[in-house]
Amino acid sequence: MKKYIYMDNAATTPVKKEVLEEMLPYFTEKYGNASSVYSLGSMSKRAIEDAREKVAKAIGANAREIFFTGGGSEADNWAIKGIAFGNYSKGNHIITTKIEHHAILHTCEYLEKKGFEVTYLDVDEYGLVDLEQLKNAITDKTILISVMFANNEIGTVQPIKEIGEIAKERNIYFHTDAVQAIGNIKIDVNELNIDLLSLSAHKFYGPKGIGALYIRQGVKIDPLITGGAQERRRRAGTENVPAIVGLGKAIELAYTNFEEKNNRLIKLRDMLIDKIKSNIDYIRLNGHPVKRLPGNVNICFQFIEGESLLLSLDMVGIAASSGSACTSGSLDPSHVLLAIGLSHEIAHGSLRLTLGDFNTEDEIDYVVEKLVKIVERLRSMSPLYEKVKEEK
Amino acid sequence: MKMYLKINNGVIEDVKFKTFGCGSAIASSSMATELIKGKTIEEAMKLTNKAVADALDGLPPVKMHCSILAEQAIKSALLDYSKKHNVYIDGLEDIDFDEDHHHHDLDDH
Ligand SMILES: Cc1ncc(COP(=O)(O)O)c(C=O)c1O
Repeated sequence: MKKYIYMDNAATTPVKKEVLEEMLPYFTEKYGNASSVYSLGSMSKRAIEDAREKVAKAIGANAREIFFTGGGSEADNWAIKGIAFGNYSKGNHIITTKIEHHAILHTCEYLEKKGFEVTYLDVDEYGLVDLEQLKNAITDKTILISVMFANNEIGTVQPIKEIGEIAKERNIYFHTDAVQAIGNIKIDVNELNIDLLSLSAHKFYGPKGIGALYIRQGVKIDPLITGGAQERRRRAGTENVPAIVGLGKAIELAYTNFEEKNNRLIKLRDMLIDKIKSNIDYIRLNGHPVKRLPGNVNICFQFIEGESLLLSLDMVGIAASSGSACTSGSLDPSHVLLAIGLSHEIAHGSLRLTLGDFNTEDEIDYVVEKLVKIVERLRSMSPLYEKVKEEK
Repeated sequence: MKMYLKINNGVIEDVKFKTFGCGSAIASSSMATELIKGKTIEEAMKLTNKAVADALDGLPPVKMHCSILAEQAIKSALLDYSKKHNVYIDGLEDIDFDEDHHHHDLDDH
């Protein structure tokens, strides 16, 4: 088989074999509806509760505080809309950031049309929020602060504990989109004063279309999906049992041998960054040098455009992603890259390589070798590079 | 997008391009150069963006503007030639050139 290197683990990850094996019986043998009284039903019920325990344990929560959803986007929607509509009598102001995933941003924009007010916090050149700006943004109408744990594009990890403290002091609910952080960072919701947390299984070797929202006991929140009495009447719909089982197994695995896997990823990441830096000029590392996800590398290559880079990489069997407009289907490059202050021109040349448990050192070498050639070739075609060479 | 034409006796002998842009933009400029190489100026003037896109076996709708850029880059190179060498090229006068286009504005892609 042709060599294929997958370095887009922030987009999604493969389902691990151990995870799939646990899931399989729930499709064909243990297919009962968890709400049914007979034993086939209670088998499903037990599997769901077992998974719930595993999720709770992973983030230091109580099982009764975990609610399964159809993925990260639903968890984000639920957190934002549920808090907004459930606490409208207290206030109509929400604080979030400019670099959230669209599951948060578009939900907030929707709420603005419904009469809510939203403050979008700036970030600095590394993608970090400013705690002073956060404090100053709080009003007596603020009902929710939502700041992502770690950014999906540039990997920057926010000062979540400090934000949690500010929210707690002011008696404001604190939600964090931890979709990229779960499995990559150790999280304890009590230590970090988190009231709501979104997670999604497909980012940590679980199946797609399944996630969870942690809701601290006592938090006042409206349901998003109404109907049957599942999930203690908070999220209707017959449970996706195989996926829930997969999520439970995946999160358990993610925090088994955690330090070892984490250190390995960080080592690979820094190796990749260093090798690119020492072999290619006119580049910029996006995100924070150390406050970043263990597998995230995001680099802008000047004078070239990200999509052509991705196509060239694909031709040599490397899967990666970019914040270039050409890949987004719109005319603007990534909102995250613009928020950290990059010009459109520079942002167009971004490349995101995200490492996971299956990547190796050999792959790093192969990718750097190919990247050097591809960047050189694309630059030789670029009118912008020509200008720079002429000026030299 | 930039095009460089080598013209001799009204025939385009060689074409080179430089493109800062996505895969479709690079492909469009490359294909456009292939299509006009060895052709006369009059023939090159007839090249449409659709012909460029068709030669590429089609472009997705969101990328059609890449082929338009290629067509414009050629026409703007021809305009440049006509100005420098004082030759009249039929059809160039009614083209509304937006200077930015052949240099392909950076933030429009
Ligand atoms: C930070 C972040 N939030 C939310 C999501 C959405 O999750 P899902 O794809 O499970 O809906 C993603 C993944 O694309 C993400 O990276």
